[in-house]
Amino acid sequence: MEVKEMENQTSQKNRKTKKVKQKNTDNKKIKIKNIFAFIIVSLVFVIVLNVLFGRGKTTITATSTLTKISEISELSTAEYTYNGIAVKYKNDKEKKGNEEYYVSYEGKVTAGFDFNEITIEINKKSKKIYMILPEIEINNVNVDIGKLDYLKVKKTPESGESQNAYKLCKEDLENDIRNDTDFYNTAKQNAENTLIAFMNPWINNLNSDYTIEFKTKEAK
Amino acid sequence: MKKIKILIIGLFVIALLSGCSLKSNEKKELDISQIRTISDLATIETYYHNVAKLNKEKSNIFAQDRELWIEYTGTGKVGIEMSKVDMKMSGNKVIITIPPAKLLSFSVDENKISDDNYYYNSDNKWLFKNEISIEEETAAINVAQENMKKDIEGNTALLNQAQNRAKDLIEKYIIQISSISEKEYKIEWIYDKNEN
Repeated sequence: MEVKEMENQTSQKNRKTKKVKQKNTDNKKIKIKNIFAFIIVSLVFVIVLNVLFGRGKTTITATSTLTKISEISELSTAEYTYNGIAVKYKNDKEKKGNEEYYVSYEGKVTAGFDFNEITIEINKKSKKIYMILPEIEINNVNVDIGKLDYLKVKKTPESGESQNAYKLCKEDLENDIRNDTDFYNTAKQNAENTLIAFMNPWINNLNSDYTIEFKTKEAK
Repeated sequence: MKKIKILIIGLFVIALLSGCSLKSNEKKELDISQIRTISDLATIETYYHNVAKLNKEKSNIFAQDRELWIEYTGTGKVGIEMSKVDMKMSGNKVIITIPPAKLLSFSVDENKISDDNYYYNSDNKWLFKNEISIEEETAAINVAQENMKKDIEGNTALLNQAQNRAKDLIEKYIIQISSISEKEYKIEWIYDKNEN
């Protein structure tokens, strides 16, 4: 009898423990469900807030004010169009493996001389008009700052770097063109052709016995 | 089995070669696309104070709106195309047609742009940054440059001034050369207002 009672008590205890365990499991499930629900609601909330407030739009405005005008007299007779690539080295130490980024650019170089510096000498005996031209110089080295394109090697160029990249490209372009004799010769030849085409009809009308000869002014 | 080995080795060689070609593409040879003969007589140089403002709104609520302002000096050269100057004789009259002045070149004054000309508001320090990229910065300068270009092209007083100065420069030589003739010539100028 006592044994039976004890068995009953044990089975009742077991049932109770099972019930408590079941309840705990149910509670855990509810908790997990609640956490998931909270995460989902939070995500939806963040997305809604982002849609409402996080527009991510970029706008650019610009103003330009004319500050100064100066008179010049540059005759450009040859133009070189360049598509080049300049390299930015870390701490400007030029060596392989030290590249920070590459920057590609579109540039134009023009050469010619100061039109106001042409000297004309007329020799009435030999019927010659000497046009003494200044030496050919580089008039403009222009890099289109709006078309700079970057290729990262070690470091993504940061904002504020465009002015350094621009100077780098101009330097690169100047270095390449400085010693190009073909370019200077083309500029010189075309300067003479331009002046002949312009002056010849006038000279022929004035006195067709006269011919033009070109000389180059010695560099100062 | 042998075929598979050959295939694997082949693929490995292709991968290596393509890797090499990518690396060599990083630094291209300078491409000199052309030398062109021109006859541009620049007579006026202009200096502009340009300000470009970039406003980048946050793309999520944790980030913050960013602003970048850049101020710099832009320059433009205005003048005429000498090859379009036309000269005709009529008795003792020289009739010279001079083309309209136009913007010949424009650029950024490299001496007037430095770190000191870039102004930013601060960004978040760690997470949710809203960085302004160098490409966006370049685009801002480009807008300012185009703005300056439009301003020069629309400034008729400036263009007329450039055309007049070109006339004065040319006239000086025409008068000088006319001394080879006994006759006296009168110069008449026609100001062409239309670009051909």
